[in-house]
Amino acid sequence: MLPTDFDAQSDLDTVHHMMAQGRMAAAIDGIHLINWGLTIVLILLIQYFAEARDWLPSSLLWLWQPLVSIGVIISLFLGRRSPYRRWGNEASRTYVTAFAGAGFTLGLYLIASGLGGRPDQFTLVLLSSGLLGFSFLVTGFAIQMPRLQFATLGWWITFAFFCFRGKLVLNDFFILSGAFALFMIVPGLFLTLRRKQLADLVS
Amino acid sequence: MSNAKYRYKDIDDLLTGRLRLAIMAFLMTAEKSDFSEILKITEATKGNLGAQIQRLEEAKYISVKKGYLGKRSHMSVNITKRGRAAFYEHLETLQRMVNGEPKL
Repeated sequence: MLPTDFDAQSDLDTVHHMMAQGRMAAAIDGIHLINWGLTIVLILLIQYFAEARDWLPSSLLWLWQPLVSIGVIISLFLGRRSPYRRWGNEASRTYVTAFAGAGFTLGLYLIASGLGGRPDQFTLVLLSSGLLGFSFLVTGFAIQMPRLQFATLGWWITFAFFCFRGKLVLNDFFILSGAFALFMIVPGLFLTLRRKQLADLVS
Repeated sequence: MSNAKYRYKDIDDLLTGRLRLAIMAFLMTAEKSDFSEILKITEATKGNLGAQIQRLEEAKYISVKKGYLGKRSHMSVNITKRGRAAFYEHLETLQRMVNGEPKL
């Protein structure tokens, strides 16, 4: 076939359009982060009022165990569609590995320490904030979204704050629920917005 | 004007097909997809898409894995290193043509 038999510019247009479609299809939508963030904020607030107003006994581990179980089930259900389905995509793979790794570590801590009594909440806060900071760091690099690093910074400041303080007080449930709202729900919204922008570009 | 010569042999015949080019371009950024997603995006017919995927697979530009997702059959499609290299090369050729470099 001679090169003049096809239109190079038209082929390039096809390439640009299809590459944009591919970017959009592979974009992480942040729904997991929003769902997890909302659930954890709700549980932290319930726990605060339960302990502050003496609504429930202080041993509230039972609240966290169903939370983790329900969260894992919902994540697996959502994961059948995206982004687990796109395991071949490097950015999706990094996102899933980072957050699933963090979730697995926290779950293991809850189960293992729960067997010997109530898990130490202070350790749990340090583990969560450190691991979430790391997860956002690698995800931000993988999907080339620098503004996601504000969540990394936020979680590591939270981590440093509690390391410096060395203990938890009741009002910290409020601080933590604010941290989850700012550094988990907001990044989730950013990702969802970004996916929508990519979709608009395609259409 | 560049001294680079345009040679018709630089054109990858496999990628001159519009549908095959579209599949490859989509996989360049999505990296992994499946038959139903590509079908929806390209708006091709099932038969034609199946045939073009098979040609790309035979050239080892993509790898195809067939299995089941629940009870439904599922075909996942990945771009290979060879396919990626061929695509880049073809893209460069197209850009050289558009930029008005000597043809034949």
